[in-house]
Amino acid sequence: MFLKARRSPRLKPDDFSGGLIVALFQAYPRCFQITVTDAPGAAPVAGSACPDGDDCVVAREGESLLLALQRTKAPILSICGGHASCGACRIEIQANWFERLTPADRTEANLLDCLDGAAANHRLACQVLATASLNGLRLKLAPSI
Amino acid sequence: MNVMMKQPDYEAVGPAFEFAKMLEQRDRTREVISAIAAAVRPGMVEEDAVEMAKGLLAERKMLRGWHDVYVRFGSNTTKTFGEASDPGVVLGETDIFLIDIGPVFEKWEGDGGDTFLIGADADMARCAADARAIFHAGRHLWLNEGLSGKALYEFAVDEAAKRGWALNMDLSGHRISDFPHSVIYDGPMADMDFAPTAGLWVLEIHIRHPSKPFGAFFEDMLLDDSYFPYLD
Repeated sequence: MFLKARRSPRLKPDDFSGGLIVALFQAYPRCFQITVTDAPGAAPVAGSACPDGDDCVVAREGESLLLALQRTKAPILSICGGHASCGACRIEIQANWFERLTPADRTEANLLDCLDGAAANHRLACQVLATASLNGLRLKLAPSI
Repeated sequence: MNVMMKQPDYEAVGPAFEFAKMLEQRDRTREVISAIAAAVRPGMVEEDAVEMAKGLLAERKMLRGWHDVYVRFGSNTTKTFGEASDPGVVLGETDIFLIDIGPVFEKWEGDGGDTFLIGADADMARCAADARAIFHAGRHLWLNEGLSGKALYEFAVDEAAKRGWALNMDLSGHRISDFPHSVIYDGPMADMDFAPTAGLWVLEIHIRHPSKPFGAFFEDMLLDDSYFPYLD
């Protein structure tokens, strides 16, 4: 009997009013700029504004951009825990920077291809590791679903 | 369990939820599990099986998953969810393997798991059969007696022990919905003190041999008997 006793409340996009959840449905409008550091312990906890108005993200050398963005409270989702499975941490790499990244491996490339709104300059933040050559990289968050 | 959250909060769904679509995705999930299992051969390295599985999912437009693709061979069948497999495990002529996938098709999540045998090891066969049997025994209690998620897993622990296995409580059920359910509730069903509603939860049973390096897994949606025609 209990199987039919209830109707689940249906959440609407409007219910997801802020924070991380807004990233489910729409692109976050602001641009992030990555600063890579190899200084031990250097990892500001909150995003700050770069001189040109971007949100500044400090990444430790060798960590994923996903971790750096999460640490600075950027509204980025990761459902699968960084396994290149869910595509929720998709980012849009700004012009002139895409070619400097280590190319996506087959798993990441195949997943990016199958997501709605796929674009040539998309990557998964969980799969891009911060290196000194990415100092100044600019990116935007793509919708997660 | 969060005291501020009530059953409707845990059982909310997203804007794209449709029960019929969830059932269709369940069917797709079970079909691809069978296809993956049919393509696994003795002598295959586990990493190659995972790639093969991803290829079959991609063919069906289900490469996106709310969790990673797991095809685990032999001793890796004891690993818990999310744990990295030991590398380079080759499937033997007498062996056991499990599949655990959570594919997303368009807007709907699937989730399913099953265990398969190579050869005829009696203990392995019993383990695989018992994972499925404990799943259905628990499901029947939920169906007929309205067991809560917590009580369901208390039963599963006892039932596994009676049969000589250890239940892995790291895999203790969860929500399923339109993608992604995790923004509604990403915790275990075993924490719930109410009877889960059909079609919104997944029951998963992962048991391990108490001393030998193998285990078995079975996972499916919580539904009534009409959705399990193979039980007839």
